Amino acid sequence: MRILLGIDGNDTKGLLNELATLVPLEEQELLLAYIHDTGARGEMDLIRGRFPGRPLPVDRLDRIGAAERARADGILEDGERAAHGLARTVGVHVDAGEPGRVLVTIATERQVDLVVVGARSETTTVPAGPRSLGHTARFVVDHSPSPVLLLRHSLDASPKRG
Amino acid sequence: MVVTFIVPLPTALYSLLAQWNVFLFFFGMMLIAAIADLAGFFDWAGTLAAAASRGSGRLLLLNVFVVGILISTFLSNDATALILTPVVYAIVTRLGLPVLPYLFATTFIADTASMTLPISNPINILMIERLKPSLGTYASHLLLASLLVIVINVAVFAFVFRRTTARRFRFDWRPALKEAVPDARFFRSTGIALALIASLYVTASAERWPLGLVATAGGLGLALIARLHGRLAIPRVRQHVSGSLFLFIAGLFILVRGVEDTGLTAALVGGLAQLVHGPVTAVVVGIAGTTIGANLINNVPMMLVVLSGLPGTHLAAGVQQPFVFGALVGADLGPNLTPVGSLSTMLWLLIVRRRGIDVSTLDYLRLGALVTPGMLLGAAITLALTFR
Repeated sequence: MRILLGIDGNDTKGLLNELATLVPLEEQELLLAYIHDTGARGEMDLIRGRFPGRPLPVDRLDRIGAAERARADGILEDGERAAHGLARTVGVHVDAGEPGRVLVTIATERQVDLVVVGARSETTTVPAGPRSLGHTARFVVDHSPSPVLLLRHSLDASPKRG
Repeated sequence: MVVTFIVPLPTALYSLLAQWNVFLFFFGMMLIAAIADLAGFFDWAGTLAAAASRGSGRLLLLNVFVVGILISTFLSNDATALILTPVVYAIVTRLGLPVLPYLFATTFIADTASMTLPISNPINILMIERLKPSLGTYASHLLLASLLVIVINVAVFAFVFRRTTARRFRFDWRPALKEAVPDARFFRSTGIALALIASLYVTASAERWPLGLVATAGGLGLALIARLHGRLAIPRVRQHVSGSLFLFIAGLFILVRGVEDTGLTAALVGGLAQLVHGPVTAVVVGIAGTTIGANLINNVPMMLVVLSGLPGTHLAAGVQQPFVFGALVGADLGPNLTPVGSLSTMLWLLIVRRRGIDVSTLDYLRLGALVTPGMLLGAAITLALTFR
């Protein structure tokens, strides 16, 4: 079985452990996908748009790109390390865009059998109810071509130490 | 306006020449920010904010506010929104923190802290050019309001983002600080010059010297320092000093002059003036008028419209100052209400959506709706009290 797990750097180990308790992973192909959310970048450009005539200088764009790559590399390295030995194979995928949409596209293109996402990207547990799903999880649930496993992500209520 | 002879060419040129102080201020402000950026000042400030946070995401949010307040106050809201914002974006991205709270913090505080001093927002210069209040008068009416709105802004953000920012991060600040500052000697000279320019700004405001001259002299002085250190990179400076901004501002001056000749600006301000029945209502009407206008046509043209229409109205002497100070508060703070403060921004929004970039406008709108009315109300009460 091919499993796609969306990660965002927020307690990847906890997500993997929770997944492993629900699905025996030893014989599965696990694909960890980190999608850099371009919404914030668009937001920044929107604000800057109020001040006419000055696009971001090239060197600043380079630094932002380097920061985004460093973040993606760090998250995927941590994820790969945490997933090591849990599944038959562990692959990684990095992309950019709106995370929900991109995860659904990957699931379609790679014909995965199961898509796994956290309910919300929060540092504290959100009780079940109308606001318990983040927009990424909501989009994946609504549009995924494959079955979706939603992890309620039993995180500590206290802030984590990194 | 000029081509169709609505505004004759000599009148247009005269209108522009009469605004030499404003143009010089824009030029100096952009030049100062450009050289400060060359020296690594903004990266250094952002890195210092992260270093002083000792691994706490919540403390980092507060420190980002502190840096934003200082930069907006002494280098203008423009420097915070345009230069500090991408610096903060890169830092929090690298730290693995959620980006939006910090991004919103810099963009909101750019406007919130832009009433503190006359040089904190180019719009303030427009008002000062027309009314010529002393620094004492300016501060007596706006300083307390400015501090209050900053407190409201920070408090609301700290509450709204208390969960999202409750994260720890690891940050090796020593190499990051070293990386932020490409040339330590150039950085030190720039830092001293910036402190000098800040104090000159305050002195010039107090003595009513033209702030455009101070800004331009400061910018050129900084450029000379960069040249002496062999760090003056003209292409990078040109990326900050935008020719099209001057065209935009010049176009606005001529446009408003043309509209003024038709009597439209006087009619608009006159319509607002009819609602004024004393200093308190003058403050409220001024704030409400420019807040709405800033979110429809952008804040710079809205303030120009108010200042242009003012002489044609019959506002009593006792209510003119409260009205204009109120209008300034609305023009400075109002843009925080929505991200679509102008037609050009709305067009931009459509373009990026077509490119497939999703902008979380709803988040911004929610935040703006949560924080801005409280700030406007607080500023209105505080400002009205100074006119009692």
